[in-house]
Amino acid sequence: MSEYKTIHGTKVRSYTTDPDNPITGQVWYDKTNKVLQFQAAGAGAWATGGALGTARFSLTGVGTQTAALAFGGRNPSGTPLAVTEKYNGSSWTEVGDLNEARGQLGSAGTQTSALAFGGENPDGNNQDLTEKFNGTAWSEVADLNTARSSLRGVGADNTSALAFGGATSPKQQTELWNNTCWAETADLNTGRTNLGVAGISTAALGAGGDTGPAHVAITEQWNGTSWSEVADLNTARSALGGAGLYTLALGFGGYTGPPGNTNKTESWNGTSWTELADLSTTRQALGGAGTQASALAFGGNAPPGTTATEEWSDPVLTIKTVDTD
Amino acid sequence: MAKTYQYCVAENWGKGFIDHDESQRITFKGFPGNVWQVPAYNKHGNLWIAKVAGAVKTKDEAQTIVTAVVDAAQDAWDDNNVEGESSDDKIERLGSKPADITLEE
Repeated sequence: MSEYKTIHGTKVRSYTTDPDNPITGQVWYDKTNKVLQFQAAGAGAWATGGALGTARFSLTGVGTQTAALAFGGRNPSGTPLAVTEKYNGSSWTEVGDLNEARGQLGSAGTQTSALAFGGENPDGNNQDLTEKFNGTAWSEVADLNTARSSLRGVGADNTSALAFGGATSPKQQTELWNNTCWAETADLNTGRTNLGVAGISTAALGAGGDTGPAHVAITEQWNGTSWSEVADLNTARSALGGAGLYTLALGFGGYTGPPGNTNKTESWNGTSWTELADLSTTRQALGGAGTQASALAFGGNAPPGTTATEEWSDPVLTIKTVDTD
Repeated sequence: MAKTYQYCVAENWGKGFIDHDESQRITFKGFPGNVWQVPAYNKHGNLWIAKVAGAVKTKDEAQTIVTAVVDAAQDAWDDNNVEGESSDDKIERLGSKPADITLEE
């Protein structure tokens, strides 16, 4: 309390409406309702967000909780899509389509500077195609060296990216994008598809995935040069959503193998994974964006393919009333 | 045996359907068919069902709805085939076959 006293003094201010930006622990008197209130910081939780315009799974996404981009994927019948939607923190709006419809594609970047690569097209062929998004439209750029689907990617914008894993033997390939072309670099230690990912091209995290025989909990960190194995997820799974950075990440949802999908959320602190509050809609093959503290989960296969969006906040800031009984 | 959960059917309208405060107070679980599970005998669960105008269902009624959607999804998965495609490739394309879901009491 000494810190609060130093900052705000010993008098509790009175307000007729809640203060605009209260800090955690701030106390005030609500003159309208004649109660003492304070700003509390609670554990992380998911809330529903605006629904995608097009239900789909095996999509991908980039950006933040209030400025995200979702693209590609498959409709509930399994048909690959080119549809791109942007999120403003409340609702999704359709923008320019990918040139090539595809599911299980990789991605990097932001809502206004994104990269789409690989995936499987409507003919069932693995793609090497790379497209760049400028905030309005997609245009084709240099291909991946290895065509594949179910790969993953990270990158700060569409000028630098890392693509890794995917459905082409031995599922370990890693490629770096330098805004002109892709170059092969050091492989993942464990080849797999459908990892959960976080980070940028020089500092990335890949967790879980499907090795073929198994859905795994293996986590690897990329330091810009090589991959090294770190602590496992608590729940082994593939096709999970991911958000955040190399040292502060979030993994959510996915497929655990029989009996099916999971709604579990785990938080990465740079050393280990900790289980937190579950998604409300259990699903696999969903999109993810944002940070460890402020993430977005969208789409996925519930089944069927869903439009559901959820917003993660940690901590959850709420105004509480002091109970005087 | 006392119920642990109660069920309702409500369409997720997006933002505000479940807010962070509600999500902190109780655990929500959504199932196919717009079926939602919240704790039984719980003030916050009851308030949320009222807020979303949820149609309260018994566990058996909710199970029937979920099973119908899952059965349809399983049939659609079985019927969705590409000539020459291996089972692994099919799983890669469509994800694993939707699993049966059993609701808890």
